[in-house]
Amino acid sequence: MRISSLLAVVVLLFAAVALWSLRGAFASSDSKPKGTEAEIQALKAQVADLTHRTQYAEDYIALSNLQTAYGYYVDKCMWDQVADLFAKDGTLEIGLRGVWVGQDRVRAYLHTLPDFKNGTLFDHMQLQPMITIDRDGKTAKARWRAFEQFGMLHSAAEWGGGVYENEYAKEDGVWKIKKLHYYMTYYVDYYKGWDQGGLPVPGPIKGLPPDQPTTDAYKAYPDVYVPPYHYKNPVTGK
Amino acid sequence: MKIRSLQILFVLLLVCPSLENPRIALAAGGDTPKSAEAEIQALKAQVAKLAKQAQNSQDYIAICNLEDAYGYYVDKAQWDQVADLFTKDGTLEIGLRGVYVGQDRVRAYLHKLPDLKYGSVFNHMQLQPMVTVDSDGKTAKGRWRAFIQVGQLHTRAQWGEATYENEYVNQDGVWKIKKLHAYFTYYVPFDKGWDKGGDPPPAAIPDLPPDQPPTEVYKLYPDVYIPPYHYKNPVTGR
Repeated sequence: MRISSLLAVVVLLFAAVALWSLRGAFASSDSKPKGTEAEIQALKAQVADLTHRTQYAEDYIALSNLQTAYGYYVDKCMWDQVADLFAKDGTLEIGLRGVWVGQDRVRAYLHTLPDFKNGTLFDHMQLQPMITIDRDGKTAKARWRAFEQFGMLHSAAEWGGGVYENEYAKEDGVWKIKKLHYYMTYYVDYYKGWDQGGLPVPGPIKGLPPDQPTTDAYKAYPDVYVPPYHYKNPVTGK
Repeated sequence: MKIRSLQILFVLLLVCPSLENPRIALAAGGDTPKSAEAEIQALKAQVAKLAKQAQNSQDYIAICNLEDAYGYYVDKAQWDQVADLFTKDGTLEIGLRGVYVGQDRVRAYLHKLPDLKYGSVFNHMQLQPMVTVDSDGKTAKGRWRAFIQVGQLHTRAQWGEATYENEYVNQDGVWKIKKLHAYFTYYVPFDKGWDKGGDPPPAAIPDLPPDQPPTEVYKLYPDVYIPPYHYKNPVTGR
């Protein structure tokens, strides 16, 4: 009685398992023929590679837009908007004024600059990006240049030019300015042009000493100086 | 004896299917099994996302090229080429000249501008793109600036600067200018610089009144004006 009932159970189980195995065999030959696994692995590798490259292009665009946005705010003396583009630990160094460390100090420095009012021209064109995104996609560096037209009605008209060597960090998916360093090439009076010497590079600000001294001491035109490049020659790698 | 062999058979039958199918063995190990179908679906979703991201980068490039191309045609007074960059319903507003609506009217306006001939300089550098492609990939906006040198031999030489806030639309895979709006910052005579006031903006065209009045009324340098930004601060979103 016991054996026969056990036998019955076993037979039923056997039948069930056999059917199930057959179904499994059909199913697997249907959805996963030989080579499917290899194809899926190959596709995964391609997708991972494309993800990296697509992200790289997106990061380039975001970094370019970040720096051009910086310029459009500077033009109009929107100092809080400018400061907001920096990371909390971001630094700023303009000419020979020294280094301001941290977003709050960057903001304090920026607020010593002119307000936007009638008679003010403060154009800082942001040009010629050379952007390098680090392999991990978390940090980046860029060389840019500014071409400046500075004017105060009845008191000043100047040309200015300089080179930025900036660093950026991606925090929670958003690129921010980690370090902004502007090396001035020249400042000249509009009416004198650039064959009669130039104006000195702006130095320390009275009443707001920087957190660190200037990192590179140099002189503007008529002196010459080559701001260090963050990158190697893109052709030779040297 | 019989019972024992039956028991062995029973155990073997239970183990058998899981040996046959390694994914069941994996499942027993706590890993969620993924059928080929599920893996392919996941890959398809990733590829769709990548396609969108890659398209966004391509769109950025196409829009930059479109605006650059605009500038190169304007430099050389190739007005039909310029008009052809607009959609049929595209609009154009330069300074305070009012709005011309539709490609035909844009073309008519452009043909009121100077021809390219001996003694003319009409450079309009297109600089500093801040380009935002909308999430549907069908429309985009761009802030740009023009640095302008206009000259007529023995007559006049001027510097000018303008901010653009433009809109673009993708029609059948081709980006076109839907709306071009140039806000002048200044026009100044070359020999006076930007500390003595400035020249007025280009006057209205008497024999071709615009279809709509200027959307914003503002003054050029030495007055100041901030053309509205189409984007929020890229870091704070404000």
